[in-house]
Amino acid sequence: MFGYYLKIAWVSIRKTPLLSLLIVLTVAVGIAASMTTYTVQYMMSKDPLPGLSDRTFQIQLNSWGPEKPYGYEGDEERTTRHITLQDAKNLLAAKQAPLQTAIGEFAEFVYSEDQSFSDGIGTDIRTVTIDFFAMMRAPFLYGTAWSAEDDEAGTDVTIISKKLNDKLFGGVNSIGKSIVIGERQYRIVGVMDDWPMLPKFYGAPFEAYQPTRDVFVPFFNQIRHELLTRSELAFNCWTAPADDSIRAFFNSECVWIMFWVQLDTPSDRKRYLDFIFDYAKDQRQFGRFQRDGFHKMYSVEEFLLNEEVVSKDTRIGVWLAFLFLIVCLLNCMSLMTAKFHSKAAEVGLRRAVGASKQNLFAQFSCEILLLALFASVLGMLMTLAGLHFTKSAYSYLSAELMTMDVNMVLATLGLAIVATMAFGLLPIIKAIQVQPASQLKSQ
Amino acid sequence: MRDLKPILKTIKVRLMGPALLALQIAVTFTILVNAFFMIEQKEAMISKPSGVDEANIFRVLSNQPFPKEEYEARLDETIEAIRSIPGVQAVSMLNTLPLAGFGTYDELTRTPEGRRETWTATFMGSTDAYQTLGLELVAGQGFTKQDEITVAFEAQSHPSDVLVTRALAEKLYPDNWEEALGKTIYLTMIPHQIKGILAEMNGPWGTWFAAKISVLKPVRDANEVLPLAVRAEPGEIDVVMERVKEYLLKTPRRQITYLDKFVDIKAKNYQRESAALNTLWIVLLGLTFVTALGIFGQSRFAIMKRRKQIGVRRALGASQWHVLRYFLTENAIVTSIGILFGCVFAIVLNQYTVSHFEFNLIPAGYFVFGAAFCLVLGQVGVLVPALQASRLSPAIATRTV
Repeated sequence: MFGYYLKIAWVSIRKTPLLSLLIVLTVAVGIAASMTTYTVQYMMSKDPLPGLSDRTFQIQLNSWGPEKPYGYEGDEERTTRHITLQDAKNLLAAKQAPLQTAIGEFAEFVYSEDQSFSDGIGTDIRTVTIDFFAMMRAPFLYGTAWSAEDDEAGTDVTIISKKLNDKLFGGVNSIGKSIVIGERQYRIVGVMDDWPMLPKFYGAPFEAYQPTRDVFVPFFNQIRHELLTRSELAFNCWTAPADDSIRAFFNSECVWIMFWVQLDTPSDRKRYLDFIFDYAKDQRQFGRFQRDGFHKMYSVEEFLLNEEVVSKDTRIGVWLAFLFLIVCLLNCMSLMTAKFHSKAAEVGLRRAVGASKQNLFAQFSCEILLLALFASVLGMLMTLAGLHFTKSAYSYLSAELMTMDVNMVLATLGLAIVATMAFGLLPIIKAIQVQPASQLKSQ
Repeated sequence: MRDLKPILKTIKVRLMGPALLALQIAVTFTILVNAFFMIEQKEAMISKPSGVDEANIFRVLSNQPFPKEEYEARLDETIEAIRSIPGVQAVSMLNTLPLAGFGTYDELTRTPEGRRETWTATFMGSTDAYQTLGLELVAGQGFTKQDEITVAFEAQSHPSDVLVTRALAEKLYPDNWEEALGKTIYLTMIPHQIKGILAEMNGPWGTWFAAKISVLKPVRDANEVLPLAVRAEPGEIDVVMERVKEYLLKTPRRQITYLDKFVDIKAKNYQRESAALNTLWIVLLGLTFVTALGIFGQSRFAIMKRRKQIGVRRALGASQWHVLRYFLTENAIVTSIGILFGCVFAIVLNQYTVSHFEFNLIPAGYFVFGAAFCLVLGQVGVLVPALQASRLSPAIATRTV
């Protein structure tokens, strides 16, 4: 029976090609608009560390001066994203979390041993402590993270990206070779594989959708060599350093380091927060931490929300696109009504020869289903085209945002079919109300 | 207007078609008003003046490959050399440019411990930096060479005199911004005197809420990096950029990190806004197209259903114009009902965006515009089917359909 209905549906579509095409096209355009914007937002708000993000926390210490707070969030005092070097060292040494990392940065010219200084490329370099790679599930193409000894001593070792390895070493295994960072040779201990983490939550929010940095060196290497590029660094001071040397800046109350911890279970959060508060109390005997409380821990999700990593425009765009889909579907509904209206004679005839309303309902549903299938495939193709266009328009975002995962493909096809069927229901019900007798008279 | 009664009656009897159309118009109207409002807001943001002589400015950031103690002397030497390059109008040291996306900010208070009045974007550069950028001084004095201090660390710089933008002066003295001249302000608790007021100087971040509230300090930072702003003679910017690059690279171990035109910096800063604008325009165009198509399809269908009636009316003496008018009026009524619902939806949506996204309230003008647009769209959509209907021969009435 189903096969027969599909056959009839196909015949009917062939009979009204223009109307059927319009229905399919309208749904497809609506689907493409809404799913393109939704895919981008969905990818933007993806969980960057599935399974770990609810126990990975950013630490905010309120080490601000006694005169006035750093700022306010509404009426509540708030503190900065960054902490001081003093606190980063203390938290690392306290080892109250199974995994923890301090994250800093500096800029330097980077080139290979065979190149000269003038070939160097100004590079923003990430400095991290060893746990970073395990915490963030960094993928390695060659080698591994540096050793715990190198981490503590701040040895001149580095981990580079696949992109830089391709550029400087033609993509071969470069472990043991060196790159030059500024004035010093750094031994390569690892090459990272492509790492499309979305969003890249562990650094500054404006970098969340930019590619991973090309060069990583131990955090304590930066401290040991006093490497700092103030013109490229986000920092904040409530009181000026003792003098204008980098050493004095490092020893000052200026904040510039991001600090993340990863706990065993989400419920350890309370314990770690208590530790932070105790730590702040302890620091008072040295005259630090004069302000009361407002130390915070943000889970990955809370941090991303708090920093508004997904822009308002993106979210509003999704709303508008879904409203647009509704316009398309309403439009479709009236087109379907028109389509079935021309079948009144057919309905009357079939009812007269004994077809029940249920039979007709099933038959017309098949017809809509067929249209919905066409619309979903076309909508899918148009969504892919839309994403391709978005890729070129939003060149500052990583291309990974404009890809669909399996969930999105299924959602697109499902939405197209369900929406078309739902909006087709009323026209079908109206169409099968035709009284058999009415078709025997003339209008 | 004699048509009104039969139209309303028809709408009541055949509720579904008109109701669908009205609903479609309502949603269209909602999107239209909200999207157009967003477009206007973004356009205003992108097209506002930065205060800079945009076409002729570029920046160059290079390193100073010299021993620490030579930084200051070398800085002067480099600036002098660039100034003498043909085609260079002016050159100054400046930590960052308006809209460059990176810079520093300060907290502004009236007393050292006072309440924060606002955040300010803080520029630091040579005393002639504002002339180099082509900024206009609207009150007070510019800097003299004595105002300038050279430091080796930003956080340590305390010049006494600063220039501020008019937007900052208005923030402090809303009734008479010129009062700000000579007053002392505290920038992150350090006192400064306002020596002059600049018409405009956009901060480094275009979409920042305090984008127009800026301070210029006469501070030069002599360290390993050397950020310069250069103004070229009109039309010569490309040549001058090449010459500056050539000169800088004569020094061994000198590296150029940035060399870019102000116009490109500005475009990059507003890239996100421009991309959002394009998306909004595409949605609007698609929407207009789909809705117009929908109105056309539906009215055509509605009119086909009523061919016999039309024939009867024509046979009883209705002119072509009468029939045309009837359908245009019908469409206008249905559209108006849609617009009424649309107003309610749009206000609800706007309330939502105001509370969730800190949007502004949409001014009434947009609703008027949206209503006019939807009415015109409806009339355009219905025109062709209505014209076809009006040309139907009265003889149809005598046939069965």
